[in-house]
Amino acid sequence: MSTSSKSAVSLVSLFSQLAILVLLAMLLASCGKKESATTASGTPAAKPWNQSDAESEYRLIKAELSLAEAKKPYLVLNFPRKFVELRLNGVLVWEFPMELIETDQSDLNDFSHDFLGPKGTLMRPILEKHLFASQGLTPDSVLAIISEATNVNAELLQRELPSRFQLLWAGGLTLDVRTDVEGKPKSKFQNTLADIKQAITRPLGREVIILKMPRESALTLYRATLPGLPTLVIPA
Amino acid sequence: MAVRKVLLIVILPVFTIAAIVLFALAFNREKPEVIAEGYTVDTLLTELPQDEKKAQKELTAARKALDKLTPAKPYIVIDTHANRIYMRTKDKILLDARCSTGSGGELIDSVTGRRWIFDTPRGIFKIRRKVTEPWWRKPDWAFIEEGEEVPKKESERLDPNVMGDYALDFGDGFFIHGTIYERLLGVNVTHGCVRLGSEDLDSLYKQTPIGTYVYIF
Repeated sequence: MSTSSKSAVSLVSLFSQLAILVLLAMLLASCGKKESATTASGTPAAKPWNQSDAESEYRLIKAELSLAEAKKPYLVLNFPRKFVELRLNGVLVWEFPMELIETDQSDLNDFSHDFLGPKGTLMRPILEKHLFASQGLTPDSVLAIISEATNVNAELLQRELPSRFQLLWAGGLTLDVRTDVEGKPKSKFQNTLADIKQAITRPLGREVIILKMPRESALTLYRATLPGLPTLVIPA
Repeated sequence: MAVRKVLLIVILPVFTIAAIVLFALAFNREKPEVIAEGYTVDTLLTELPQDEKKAQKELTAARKALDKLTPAKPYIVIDTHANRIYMRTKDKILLDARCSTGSGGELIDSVTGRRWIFDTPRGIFKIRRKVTEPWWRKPDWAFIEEGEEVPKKESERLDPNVMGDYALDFGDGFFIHGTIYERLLGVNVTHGCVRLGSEDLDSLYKQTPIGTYVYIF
């Protein structure tokens, strides 16, 4: 083989080696890209860092941790998930989806916005609870028998299934819960007053969410939410 | 007369409108924000560091602290308001059953003045012990309630027939157990224990290892 043909062969082999190297490099680069796009579990990787979002999340976590510390139940209005929840020590113990009636998504957004207020308040205690009407869970005649057998006052044994009740926070924010229970009004005067108050304050910007709930879920929510109960809002 | 007419025509409506406005303002005024007892509300001024790496570290630690609160394994939830018991995870309900919890009734021993309140305790507990074919060791109140004399012999306190097939001990003398009064499930009739129907008890007993968390609200 002549010197010129030898050098031509070596050039070709050099180019082919280079081409293989380039291909390998491209392959590795594409693998690296894939790895950075998804995590090991196949879920999308974290978004690029955003200080403002991180601060919001941090405040929310810190708020929840402070509530969890008390080891008492607290109410959570989880707007992104559209659930009303009860949590104890950071653990979900009760939940119900926000089934809206007479109100819509924009009311949820406005409620969330007003709850946060200018200071971004994530937690507020329930200020008032108003029961419009209810019905005894167990018939009185049955309770009388149980009461005699167990030596416990029938009134203690009774659970009131709410037909409708309201939870109120500062600024007139109202959660109005309705069920299909045909109950007796607790006080017609108080009910009318509450309705008038709502009719006056709502056009002035006081937000109301109206939810429909099955009777047993409403019973839990009604009994578990006393004035003073802290409420955490996960903003919409 | 003219002055009176002017007064009536001008001042009276002005006063009336002013009164309505004042009333509306008073009615509509925001109530002072009350800080719930035992909670630090909106005093959470802990801020993330401005340095990105430090902030990421701080946020990750906070997320971990919150995640750590939810048990990794299924946990029991007892809703004393609706008398329901659940075995669940964060996302899924594995068992949903009717139960009976404490009545809240009070018993006072007229002789000694001792007092009992029959409430199911609220809070966070753990299953400490699992018992098959449990016998009830009647406490003093069980005799006082029936107007009987408290026995001196230990054997006279034991009753093998009232707690069902299984009992799950969650501390301080409180159990999740069966009942011979299944028709009363859903009513707050117990002395603090949690009663369950036999089929649901069987299922719960099999699903519950010792150490399972119990959340009662």
